[in-house]
Amino acid sequence: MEAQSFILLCGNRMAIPVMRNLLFAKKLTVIVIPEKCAAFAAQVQELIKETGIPVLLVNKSNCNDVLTKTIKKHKITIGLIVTFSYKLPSSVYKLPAMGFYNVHPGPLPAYRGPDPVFQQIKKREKKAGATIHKLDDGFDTGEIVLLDSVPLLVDDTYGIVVAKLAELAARMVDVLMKIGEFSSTIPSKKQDEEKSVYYKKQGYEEVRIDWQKMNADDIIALVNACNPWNKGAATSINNIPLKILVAEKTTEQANKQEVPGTVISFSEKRLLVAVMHNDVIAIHTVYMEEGFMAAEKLKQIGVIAGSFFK
Amino acid sequence: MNIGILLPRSSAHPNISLDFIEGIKVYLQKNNLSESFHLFTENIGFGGVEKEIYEKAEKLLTIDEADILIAFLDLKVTKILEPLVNASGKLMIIVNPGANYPQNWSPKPGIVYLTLQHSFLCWLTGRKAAIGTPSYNGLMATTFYDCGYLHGTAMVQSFIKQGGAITFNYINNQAYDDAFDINKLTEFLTQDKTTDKLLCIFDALPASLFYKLLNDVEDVERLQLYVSPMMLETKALEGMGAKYKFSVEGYLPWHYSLDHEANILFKETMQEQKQKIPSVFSLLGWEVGMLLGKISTDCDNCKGDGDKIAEQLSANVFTSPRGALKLDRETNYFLADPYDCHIDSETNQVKLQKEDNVQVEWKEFSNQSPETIVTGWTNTYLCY
Repeated sequence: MEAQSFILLCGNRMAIPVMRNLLFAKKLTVIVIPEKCAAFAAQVQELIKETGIPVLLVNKSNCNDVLTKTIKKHKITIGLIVTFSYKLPSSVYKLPAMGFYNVHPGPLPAYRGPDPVFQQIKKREKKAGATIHKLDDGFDTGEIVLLDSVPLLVDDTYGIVVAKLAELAARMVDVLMKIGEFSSTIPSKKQDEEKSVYYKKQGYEEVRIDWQKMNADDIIALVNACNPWNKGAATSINNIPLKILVAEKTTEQANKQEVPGTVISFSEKRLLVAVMHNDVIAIHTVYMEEGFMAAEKLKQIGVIAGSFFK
Repeated sequence: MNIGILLPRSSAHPNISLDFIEGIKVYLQKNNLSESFHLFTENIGFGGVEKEIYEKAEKLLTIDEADILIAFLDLKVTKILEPLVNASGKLMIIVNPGANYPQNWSPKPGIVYLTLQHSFLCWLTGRKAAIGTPSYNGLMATTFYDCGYLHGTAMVQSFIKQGGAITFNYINNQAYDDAFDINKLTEFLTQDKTTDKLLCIFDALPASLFYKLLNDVEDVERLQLYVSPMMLETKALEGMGAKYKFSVEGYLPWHYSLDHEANILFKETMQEQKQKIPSVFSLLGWEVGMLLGKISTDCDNCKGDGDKIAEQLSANVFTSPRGALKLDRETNYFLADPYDCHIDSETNQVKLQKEDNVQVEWKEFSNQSPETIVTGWTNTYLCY
């Protein structure tokens, strides 16, 4: 059987553990990164400078040409995508002998779309999943090779979940590599369309706290789902927009007359806020245009007990 | 129905494969089900060569058209079979002693685990060693082979979690023959009189050597041994030739002497059909037979949908020779209440008491995973 040769298309740090394992197995031939991810490309070039493996930078207009030539030149047998922003046509994804695969950071078909990590945290899943699937002409619709998951804890932030999934993805790619060695075909199964859900990229409304409709658990989940990429969940107080970056649910109870979003008190650098069902959350860290700060600093912009978050 | 079976080999337990397959066949024959199943077997040696395992599983599923795959395999290598099983839509029943536990307990569609629960029982044993006793100092004693599985981690972690402290780790790396010694351990015990709990994980043969040598150590009466299931097997305990001077406690998933109806039927049927005293491997085979029997009667409309079969299985409580056996859908592991055991100092025999309702402990155990990078032997425990 022909020796395995991988091309890795990637755009952010989630790909690093996968890259590490492919390098360790001596199966990584080429890395391709979008030009727009310049900082990540620089990081990768520094990491692999001793290996002699080329890092190709592409843009939307030259991507397909570069990939076609590279796959043919290096006799690539397997293509792998870990967070890559350009969609590949069949003329490209059909080139490698053993196929092109995408590592999707969510369980398919239940979490299709560009940011399943955000959605899984926001929906308070107990596990965060990842899927390796074959590429086809749709978005996240190809046949599933592997599906696995890691525990999603209530205080896991988006950044932590990405790190967990990145390591999970590396272990899954190890399995993919082995199967590619053992057999001429990689087994896969069609997705159950009836169970499919597609989530669009979240907009402002999805990252904003609705104090009247969201309970404590929903708010904490949203705060975690927005940390760090959005600098927190959006809200405002005293007509000043801010983002809540770190918060937790407390065991305390608010008075029944407290409207959700009401500041109860400042306590040990935290801000205690009444939420639905008389629950109380403690806000630790916020982000404003002035910077990241402990919640108690909100005193300086006039926040007092009885102020409202909107 | 075609059943594909990946069978192990073991030099230490040469009957492992035969006992297992006989357990299946005897159950099927006893229940007039032999004609309903065609068994296709493939030998996978000690279960550590992934390529061989993959190719044989592929053959069973594609050429032999197995409707169900029974894989007597360790967790570390079953990962590579997941895409194959998932793509086929078939049910895979993974069978092993349970000496390892997963880094991720999330159930995989169409895959269920039938084990002897060794890790869980070691976890219970570690807890038992620490709870309700005045001294919390303990040591871990094991062999180079036995320490390559997570049952050791399970025992030590639960001991520590309950307040215990490990003062010494003893790993024996000698051949299991007349030259076997435990000198390093006895040296430590001579110097340190505060450590009186020994958390021990040995396969049956080294266990018998270990017990004998330890019995001759000075001041040994103060020691309390908390041991892994294989150390309570008859093979481990026989041949002592003297009364145990130290206490020995642990848990077993099953014991030949159990006198409830299901175990009597199991023993009598094995005797009647094979003129044999059943082993733990026969037990696993018998239980696989029970699952196949249930599938043949209840899952007619689930062919090609392994997860649907698993769902159907989870609706049943199986009356196994070890007791009630139930599929936990949170993990897809079969769970049975174990037996709290100690060696009777008068008779040298194992005394058993059923430990009822371990679901809470199981939940606690299966909610935790190894926190560090895991390394160890890839072959199936006891297959060496």
